[in-house]
Order: sequence, then C-alpha cells, then structure tokens
Amino acid sequence: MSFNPEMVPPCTLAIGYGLGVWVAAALVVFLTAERAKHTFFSFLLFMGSFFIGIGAFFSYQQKAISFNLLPCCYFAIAPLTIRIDTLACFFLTIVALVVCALAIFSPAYLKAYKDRLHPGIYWHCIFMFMLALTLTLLSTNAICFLIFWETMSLAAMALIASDHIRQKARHAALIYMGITTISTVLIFASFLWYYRHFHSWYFADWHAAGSITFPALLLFFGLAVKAGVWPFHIWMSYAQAEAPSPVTAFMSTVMKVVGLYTFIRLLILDNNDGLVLGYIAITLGTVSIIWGSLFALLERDLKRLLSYSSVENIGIILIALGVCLVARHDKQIDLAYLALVAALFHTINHSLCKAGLFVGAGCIEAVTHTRDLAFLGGLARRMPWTAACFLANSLAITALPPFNGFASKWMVYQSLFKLTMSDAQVIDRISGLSIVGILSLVGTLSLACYTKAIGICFLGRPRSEMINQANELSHSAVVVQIFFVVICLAMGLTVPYVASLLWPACCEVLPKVEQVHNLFPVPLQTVTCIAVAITCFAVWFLFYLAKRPDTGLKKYVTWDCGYGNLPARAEETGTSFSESIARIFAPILRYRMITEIQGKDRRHFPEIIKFESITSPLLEGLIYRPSMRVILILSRAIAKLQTGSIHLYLLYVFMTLLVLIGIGIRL
Amino acid sequence: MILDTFSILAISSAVLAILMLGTMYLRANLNFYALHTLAIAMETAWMAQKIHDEHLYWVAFFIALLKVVIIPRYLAWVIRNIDVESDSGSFIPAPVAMLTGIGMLGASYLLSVQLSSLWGDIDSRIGAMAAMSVFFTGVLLMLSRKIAIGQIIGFLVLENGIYLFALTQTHGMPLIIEMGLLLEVLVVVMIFGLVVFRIKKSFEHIDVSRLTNLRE
Repeated sequence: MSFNPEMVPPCTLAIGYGLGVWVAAALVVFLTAERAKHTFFSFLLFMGSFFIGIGAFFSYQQKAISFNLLPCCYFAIAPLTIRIDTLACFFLTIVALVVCALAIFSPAYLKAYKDRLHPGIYWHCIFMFMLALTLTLLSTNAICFLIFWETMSLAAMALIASDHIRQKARHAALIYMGITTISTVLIFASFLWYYRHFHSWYFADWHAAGSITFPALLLFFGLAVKAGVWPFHIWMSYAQAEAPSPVTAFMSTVMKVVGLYTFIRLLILDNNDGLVLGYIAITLGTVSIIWGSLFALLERDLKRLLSYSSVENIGIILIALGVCLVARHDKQIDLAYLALVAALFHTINHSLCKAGLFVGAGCIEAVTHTRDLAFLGGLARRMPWTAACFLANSLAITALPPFNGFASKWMVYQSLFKLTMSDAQVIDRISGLSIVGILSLVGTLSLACYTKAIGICFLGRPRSEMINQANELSHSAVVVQIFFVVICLAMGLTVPYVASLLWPACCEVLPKVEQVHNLFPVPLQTVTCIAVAITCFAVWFLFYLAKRPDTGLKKYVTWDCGYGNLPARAEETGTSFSESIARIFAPILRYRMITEIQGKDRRHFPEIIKFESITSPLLEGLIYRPSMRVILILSRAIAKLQTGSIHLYLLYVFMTLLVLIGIGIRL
Repeated sequence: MILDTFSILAISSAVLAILMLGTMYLRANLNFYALHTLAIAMETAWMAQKIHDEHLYWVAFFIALLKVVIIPRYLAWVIRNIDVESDSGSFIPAPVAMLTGIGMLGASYLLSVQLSSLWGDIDSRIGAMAAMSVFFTGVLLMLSRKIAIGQIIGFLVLENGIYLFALTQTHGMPLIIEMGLLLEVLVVVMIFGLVVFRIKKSFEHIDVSRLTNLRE
C-alpha cells in the first residue's frame, strides 16, 4: 500500500508532519553547523514532538493503519512500512510529552555549557536520535526496526560524547558503544531466528505459529542490556552521568520506553512459552530493584544516583511484565491485564518523574558546575522552585500519594498479591509473596535515597562557595519542572481514568476480553476520607511551619556547648547519612570504612582524623574487569593476524576461497 | 584418452601459465603471459566456431588485441621505465613454485571431476580443470613474487582463469559483459602501472614484502 494522503486520517497525518519537521530541522542544522541557534532548534524539536504527540493522542484507540512511508525506500529485503496502532500511539504520546518538555528546557542548559558543546553536532544528533527513535516505535518489520534501532544507538553514543574534551565523557561513550553493540547483536540473532521460524520479517506474523523460547530469550537479553537491567546496568552510571543533562533525560526516559515497547510488542505475545521468560524477568527485576536502590543510596554523584534509581524502576517494571507473562501462561487473563497495565503505568510515571528529576539535576549542575553531593547544600534558599519540584518529583518516584508513582506501584503490589492468592503453582505464589516483601524493603531504601538527595542538596548550609552565587537557571527550566510535577499530580489524582485509558493498549498483545474489572478499584469512602483528612492536615502543618513568625530571636539549647551555629563542615554528609544502611549491606556493596586518628593523646585531643569509606562495585570487580582482560588478551592474539604483509593478506583471501569451494562442493 | 582441440588449447593455456612460475625474468614472464592468453583467445575462437556464435569471434579478437598485445607491451614499457629486470627474490624458489603449480593442476583435476557439467557435446570438465589450474597459478604468482610487477602479472593470470572457467562452463556471456570485463582489466592494469610508478617514486623500490607498515 502506498502513501496516499487522502486515505490517512488527519491525526495520523500530524505524526507525519512532526517527522517532517524533524527531518527538515536535521537538514537545516547540517547547513548552519557552528552558528546553530539553540532556541530555534529547540523550537523545531518542540513543534515536531507537539505534532507527533497530538497525532498519536488522537489516533489512540483508532483502527490500526499501516502504510509504506516511502515506496522508493527499500532496505535490502524489506520496505519501509509503518504501522500506527494503539500500542505505538500510547508510547508515542509519552515520548512526545517528555520531548516537548525537554525541548523547552534544553536551551537554558546548553547556554550554560556553550563553550564545551558544539551546537551543530549536538542538534543534528538530537534530531537523528528522535527520528530514529520514533521510527523504531513505528516500524513493522525487523529490518527497519534494526536499522532505526542502531541509528538511535549511534546518535545516543555521539550525544554522550558531545563533551568529548573530557576523558570521562569519551570513556562513557566507549562503554555505551560496547554495550549497545552487544545488545544489537543479541537482538539481530533473535530476529534471524524468528525469521527462520516464521519465514517473515514482519512482526505481525511472529506469533501463534508455535512457541519458541530461545529467540525470545535472546531478544529479552538484548533489550535488558539496553534497558540497564542487572547485571547489565553498569553502563548507565557512566553514560548517564557524563552525558549533558537533557541527553541523560532523553536516554533514561524515551530510550527506555522504546526498549519496553519492544518487549511488550514482541515478548508478551504468545510466540514464546511465557513461563521461562516470566521467571527470568521476575528474577532479574528483583535483583535490579535491590541493587539499584542500594547503590543509589550510596552514590555521591547526583546524576549517578538518579541513574541507579532508574535501574530500580526498570526492575519494578520488569517484575510486572514477568508477572504478566506467568499469568498469561497460567491463563489468568485478568491478572495478566492488571500486571501489564501496572507495567505501562509505571513506565509513564517513571518517564515523567525521572525526566523532571534529571531536569532538576541539570539545573543544579549548570548553576553550580558540580554534581558531587559533598559540595552541594543549602540550595533550597537559592533555587526554591527547583527544590520544590525536585521534592515533588521525588515524592512521585518514591511512590508516595497523592502522586502517580503511588498508583502504579500499588498496582504492581496488587498484581503480586493476586498472583499469591491465585491458584497458580505453589512456587509462583511463594515467590509472589516474597517479592512483595522485597519490594517494600526497596521502597523504603529508595525513600531513604531521595531523602538523602534532597537533604544534602537543598537543605543545610552551602558546602562550597559556588552555591552562594547560585540562582534559578532560567524561567523555562522552572516551567518545565512545574509541568512535570503538575502532570504527575494530575495523573495521581485521576488514576481510575488513566488506568481505563491504558487497557486498550494492552488489548494489542493480550487475548481480547470484553472488559477488565477492578483494574484500579477506588478505595472505600471511609478510607478516602481518612486519606483526605491526613493530607489536609499535612498541608496545614506545612503552612503552619512556613508561617511561624520570625522574631529575630535565636534560641540555642543549653547543652549544645556553643555548637549551635554549626558550620557547613560539621553537617551531616551524604556518606554519613547512608553509612548505617551501607554497613548492613556491606557484603554486597563491599563497603569498608577506615578511620585513622593521629595525635599524642589520641582520645581527647586528636590532631588529625582521617576517615575513608570505600565501596567497590561487586559486579565490575568480579565479572566485568576480568572478562574485559580476557577479551583484550584474545584481541591482541587476533591482532597478530594483521601483519601488514600483502602476501599474507592474499593468502588469507585464498584460504577463505578454498574453504568456500570446499563447502560448495560438500553442499 | 584422445584429446580434442578444445581440451588441448585449455591444457596448453594451463601449462603455459605454470611455466610462468618457473622464471624470475619479467620479460620472459610477459612473453609467456602473451602466449598463454593467445591460447585462451584461440579457445574462444574455437568455441565460437563450435557453437556458431558470431559475437565470440569478436571477444576472441579483442582478447588477442588487449591481452596479447597491448597489456604486455604496456607492462614491458613500465618495466623499462622503472628499471627492473627480474624479481629480486621469491618467497618460494622458482622450481618449487613450479612443482606446486603442477600439484595444483592435479588438485584442480580432482576438483573438476566433482563437477558433472556436460553441456552440448563438449565435456567441459577438462576446461574446468584448466581454468582452475590457471586460477591457482595466478594466486601462487601473487603470493610468491616480491615486487609489485609480479603481483600484476599474477592478477592477470588469475583473471584469465576466471574468464576461462566462465567460457568453458557456459555458452559464453553476452558481448556487452565480455567487453566490460576486458575494459575493466585494461583499466586495472593501467592503474596498477601508475601505482607502481608512485611506489617507486615514494619508496625507491617496488618490493611489496617491505611495505608492511600499518597506518591507522
């Protein structure tokens, strides 16, 4: 079917306009290069995503349409066909929402770093990234998908390296490059396998013709590598910390969304057994949440902290997807729907909150030029809006009511409880119950982690000079953060409506049902009343605290020995905050603390007190570094083939030819 | 076994190619190459007469013109200009190389009997054997010679092998393709010649075995 504007409904055409804007923008950047204006291109980015968002939102729940975008464009064996259906529209809407907001934020941040980032390259890569990402969501066949997926990864790699003067950024880009190659290889292998089994490159044909588990596993691991699931999360803390903040926000939200979209589109379907994949997903998800929350708690770097928190949230989503797979295998369709809706809901929530948090972190980074918590502090006075929004987004991501995070995590809990109560196998039920326990532990840990982040960043006294001159980055940054908070709050307050919007998307991949009951039962009236009462009281209390009359009189406790007005150095640090928890989990974190006191009378009059706490990431030390060493040794051995002698090269060619002739004769 | 003209021409081209392995003198190599290609041209002409295809006569004529006359003369001119007479040395001594070539001939026979292609009334297996042998000889030439001219001659022989295989296994390709191939070979040789001049100018020698510095 070729592209015919009259056949396509206007809202779908809007998506096309959006893509067109981005293509045009990418070309214009190419021409302007060095003189590229941040404001202009972020406007174009905004317009494109606005069109796409509007188009996707109104195409939602419409009948799926697929058409050939460019009939002349033919990727070797597959045409560039696009399919716009409910699931794709759902994800497109999230992507567009986040990108709109980030487009408004970008110029302020980029201006702060204008001497380090090349505007032309940056914007070109952003547009390439967004185009490839959108087309990945829309592509109908494996070849298109792979091409766009790889383009997206390469653009992301270039974006991570945009501040390539610093060695750390180059290192991060290299790590990302490696990880993305592994991911692509796994996905490619799985696609080839699927092709061999189903004899078609089209995703739509990849189900119901019998179930095969191995390619599904390959695909799962490919996506897990890209999404940063334990044990493949290593790259995230590097790449996301070193990339410019808008890029980090893009990567940790919209790129994750693509990975999850692929998971839902290809793996929830009945083309695999479900049980094996479900168990693996639940296991890896559980380890991810523990790992992510623990390392986030210990982290000193604000952006790394947020990226570890992403690991945790991906874990939660993965658990929900795993429950969905297991439930589908056990033919409990209601539970499968509940879990899938929970996963989708948590995906949106995480995208929105995390984007908001990264914008906040970006503001802090741009203003203070540091991400190290040990040098931050007291920012609430200098940047009140950022502080308030960061707090609100943290509340959302730590799943406290009335924000949206609470609702989605509640649904994850519900699905786990239902799995426990169902008549599934005993092992499923036991694991469901135990994951409930782990999830609540992790919830507490992440609460502690965000308490630490906010407390150290925004409260107390400034720990460095820079903070005294700090101010809000720009109006646009504040507006964007408020936007994220408002959306989070709005979604948190209209949960039943949002949940009812989500289930049509699930119908794309799960067996059709008439209606799903009790997706998000509204709590009883008494409970609601109590919750409202508590909330009102809390709000009143906050206002009371804020409005306490300032008499100018300072009161000190009698026995604080003149330490009443403590300097910044005497304040609690992030390290000391997390020390007690770190001690409990010392074997996992490999946490060690060395205290050294020097002086004649060491006990009463110490001269020097040295304190050092060391955590060495377990996985990196035990698995990644040794395996890298082995790979390096092997590559050196292989590099010996590369002698530079033309005769030897000719010999290689000849040998290959002989082998091929041999194979040809054998066949 | 009674051999017909077809087989005799094919085998003689293979034998002439093997003889090239035996000498280090570039002029002698070029002369052998001309003779060897002449055999192939005659093979083409014989084929044209056999299957009554007029365009193969033209192909034969152009092969004779380009590969028997123009290319050897051009290479001889290059040799004169860069002032080399013979290969400075070979990785495999000439007699051993020749024996290896003969061994390859045997190997190609073993390979060719696996092919069961018999078209028309010609048993093309002898042709396939000769073609493969010529091909292997070309590879051997490229592998064993140290200076760049040796590589060019090796390439030309290899190319002849491919052509001979195509000729003996099919009815001959359309004229336009044959002409394209011939033109390509001509261009490649011209470029090779120029590159050899450049190498001589930059490195003061054309010994390929000493060009091993890898640049990234």
